[in-house]
Amino acid sequence: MRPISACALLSLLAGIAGSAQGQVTALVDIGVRDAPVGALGTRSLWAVAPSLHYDRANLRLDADGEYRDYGRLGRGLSGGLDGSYFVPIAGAVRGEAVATLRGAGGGPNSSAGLWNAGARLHLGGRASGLWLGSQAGGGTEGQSLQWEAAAWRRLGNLTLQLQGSQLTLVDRVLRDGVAPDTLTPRPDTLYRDQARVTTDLAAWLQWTPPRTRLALAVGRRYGITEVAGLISGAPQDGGLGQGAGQRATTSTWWLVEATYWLAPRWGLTGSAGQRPPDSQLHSPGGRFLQLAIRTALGRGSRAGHAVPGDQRSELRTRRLAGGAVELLLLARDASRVELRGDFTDWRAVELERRGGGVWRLRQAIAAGMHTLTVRYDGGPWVPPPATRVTTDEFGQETGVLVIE
Amino acid sequence: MPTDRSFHLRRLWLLATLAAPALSAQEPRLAARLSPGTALEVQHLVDSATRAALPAEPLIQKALEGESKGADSARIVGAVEALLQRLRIARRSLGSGATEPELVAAAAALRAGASPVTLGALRSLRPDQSLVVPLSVLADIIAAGVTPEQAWSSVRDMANTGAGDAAFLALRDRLTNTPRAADALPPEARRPPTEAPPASRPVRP
Repeated sequence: MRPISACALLSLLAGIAGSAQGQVTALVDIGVRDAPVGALGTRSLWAVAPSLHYDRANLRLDADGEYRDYGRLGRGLSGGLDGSYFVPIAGAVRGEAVATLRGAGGGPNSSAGLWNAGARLHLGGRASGLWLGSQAGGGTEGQSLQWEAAAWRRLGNLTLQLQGSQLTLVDRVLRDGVAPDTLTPRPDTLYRDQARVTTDLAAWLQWTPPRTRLALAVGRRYGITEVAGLISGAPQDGGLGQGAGQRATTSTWWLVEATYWLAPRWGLTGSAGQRPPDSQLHSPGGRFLQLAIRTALGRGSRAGHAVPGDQRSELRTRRLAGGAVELLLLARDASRVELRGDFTDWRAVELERRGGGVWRLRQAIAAGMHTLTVRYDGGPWVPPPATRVTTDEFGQETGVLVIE
Repeated sequence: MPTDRSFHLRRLWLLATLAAPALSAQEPRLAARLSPGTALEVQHLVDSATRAALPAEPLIQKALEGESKGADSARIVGAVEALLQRLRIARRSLGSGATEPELVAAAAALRAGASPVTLGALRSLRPDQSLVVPLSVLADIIAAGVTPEQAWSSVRDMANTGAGDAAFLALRDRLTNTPRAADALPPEARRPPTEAPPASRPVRP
């Protein structure tokens, strides 16, 4: 993927994000890495990796890219777009439409690209669940079909996920009349049918206390490559020739990744592990170690529920003795929180900062159902946590809250 | 000539009679926040609600909400008109004794997809208790993806037991399993690490 393409994709996503209500998070990692580059062994490289994430209720869009400098081996670029949209089906069953577009090129590795689109069926709630899914796609390595299944469980800040998937890549080559204009006996038909089946089993563990994120993963990859070939040539050359072969490989991979936010916009991140070879993106397997500085950019990237490490946003209300209502909102990393609703004449009211990341508003509010939105550090207006989210008559998301 | 003069006087008096109440009762918040034309149209809807003994404040708040969210005049008037219509249906379904919070909650339930018939049925099941929480729970359950019929069936069964508001809230938590749909999104499908950074995306809230 050329740099201009990656920039255009990021700009497009930024445009979509800017035109709609939602939470935008922009991150940039700048760091160094020790990583294998195929037959050339391990090389040190430095990389800049921007990413843009957009969340709106059940919609999520992610764009990420990475520029790598291998020194004398050249420069590489990779990037991708991921989209996910959830739709309720019935009760605890939900559907998810997913799509992926990824590409990589430059440096010591050859260029490759892929796209996938598919659907998942989710069953479960807030604490646990499972899903089944299928995706089909294509790319430089042929057509692909993937099946996946996963089960997950959340215990507070801890999430455990067991995941299995099987990817089939089919690459067919058919050439007729290889040498039709010559008397030289050589094959006039070449047919090759190659299927690569990769099965992954993995366990992910993620811990997200405030300001911190720790991810551990271990997986096993089983690969089978089957090649069926057929060559037909002139009769004097022996006629038909054919052959088939199968090769099986297995590899174990693991990953440790940690991020700590030193300040609302600055953090340190590091990861290490052993990665499996990825034939779709021509990525060689091997050990890697990376250290990077992470920065969160943009007005909406800092506070609220989308900030990494701030997973405890919540809203509580209680009626005071004098009849007023006290609203308490937890937003640890925010430096300014505003609220507007049908009890403020839809004018922004600034909340008062209390200790421990708690923000307070005391206001006369009649009992009943109310609608409101909040914003953090001048970002977009979003429904507060722990409210029912509804799309209002103006096409924007609003929180609904009952005050007794 | 005297005939012409009296005709003009009668016409002026008629115009003054029609215009005076509207001008005197103009809601200052509408005049301050909306364009004159929009404020006048919303004011007519507010007056019409007042004449029908319906609450005016929710309509005013809907107009102010539209203004604060940058909606155009047609959308603001349309939203207020639609809310007025739902309040009328809510009044007919719940009866003349319905309070303003009950009417607002009923209008929200109607917008979520509840049937007017269910509102009346709920009133008859809880004649002496507030319907605000049951109606909001009904709207929440429908919004979480449960069909209006199934949602009403659950709320009706709960109301039949004579349960209080806390039981309705527990029912909502049980059926929706979360106070907010986005909070219940499962973790993402994770890829094994490739050459790019293994996990640069922020975690889901």
